[in-house]
Amino acid sequence: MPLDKRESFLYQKLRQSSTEELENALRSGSWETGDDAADRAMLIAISDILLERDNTTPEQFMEETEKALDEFWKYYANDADKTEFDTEDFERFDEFMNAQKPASEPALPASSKRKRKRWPYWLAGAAVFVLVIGFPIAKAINSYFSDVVHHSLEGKELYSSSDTYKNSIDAATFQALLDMYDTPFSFRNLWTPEIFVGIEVSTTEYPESIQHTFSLSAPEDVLLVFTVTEYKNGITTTAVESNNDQAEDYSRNDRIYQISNNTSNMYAITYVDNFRLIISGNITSEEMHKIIDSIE
Amino acid sequence: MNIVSKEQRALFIQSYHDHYDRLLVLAECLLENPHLAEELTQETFAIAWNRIGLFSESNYSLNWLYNTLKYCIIERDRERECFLEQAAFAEDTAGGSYDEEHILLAYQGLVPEDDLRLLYQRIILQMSYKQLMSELNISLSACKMRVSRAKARFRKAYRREFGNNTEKKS
Repeated sequence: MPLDKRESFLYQKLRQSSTEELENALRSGSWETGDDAADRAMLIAISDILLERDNTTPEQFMEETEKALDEFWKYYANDADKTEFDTEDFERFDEFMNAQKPASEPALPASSKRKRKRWPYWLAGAAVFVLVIGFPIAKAINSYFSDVVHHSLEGKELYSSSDTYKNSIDAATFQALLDMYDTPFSFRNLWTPEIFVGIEVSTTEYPESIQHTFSLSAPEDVLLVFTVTEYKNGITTTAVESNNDQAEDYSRNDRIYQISNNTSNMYAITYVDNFRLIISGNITSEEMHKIIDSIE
Repeated sequence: MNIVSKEQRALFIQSYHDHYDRLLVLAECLLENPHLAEELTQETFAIAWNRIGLFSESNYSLNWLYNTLKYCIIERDRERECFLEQAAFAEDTAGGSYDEEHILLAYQGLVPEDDLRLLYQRIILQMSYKQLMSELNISLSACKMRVSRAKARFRKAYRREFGNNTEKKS
């Protein structure tokens, strides 16, 4: 199934929300994680769904965009008199954008002469932000995603991707899911062989564990799967697979991965507290090492 | 002067095509005012255009534009609060109602009444330029200029009359 025929858990879950719920989430900023890729994915998903619900056809949108662009060149670009933003405003704009904590964005130039004079405002602003906005947002993030999770708790599968849409599932999608469960693994900089594309992210609850899976596929049904399992009552001996004599111990980021292979698949397994990570896929040993190196 | 390379211009146009509809629908959600949403979406792209160097370096252009849109909305609110606060300061009636007559009375004689009415419609009623242009029966460009000049005259007159309390709050 081609990638654009698949739909991430994000779209699936967001589609279950009413327009009003989406608008409220947008206004509260509860979806913002501070991770550029995840935030972008969420912005695209929310706007896609809102656009889907609009009766305007894509052709009409294109026509409106062209018209707006003409208007933009005529009234908004290249004429300082026609914009409401003066130099002081741009100073404030730079400060605002820097305060958005964009991890991968270049820093804007520092403000000039007025900065020293205005610092108490910023200090007060930061305090107000933390007390008045920051805390509710943090609470809202928790509550928003908790709602989504609990809403679908009737079945064992909490999240699953399926069906169609244009957005791809990637490591950021998986990480956004893991972040909700406070797992010790970070896949933000995950490296995978180019041939693989993300096809599914899911979370499944079992009586004694919660399992998060990120699946990628390559042509001819070749799979690469990451499985993070949290054992609610600690990892018991039954949960730990027996060692393979051929296994190689590979140490990375203070974790020891046992790498082994059987027939066509490579496996890597590691444990951190109550969590177990298994990587399995039809890949080479070198690729497995490179993948492990990219997991933080 | 904003110097833009061919590549930056192409990138900007591409971003406009890619994100205008998304940004507009997000703005409509945040503002609940389609006229203002359209205008602030354009203002957002105007900032991107004026900051093309930084915008073109951005790895996540939609995030950049969305943050800019939020900035425009915050600025609009801040300006409104500042205007009301100054009205309260001038009238010494903090907490009062801010209808048009109240505002006109508070700033009577400071700037021409036409300017004050325009600022009231623009800042307090949050009317878009398109709404104002049809009401004033002037072009969009002329409308923007009139608002911009009314604001400048107001700031100058207020400073002269009441000292430096017009300084914008961060």
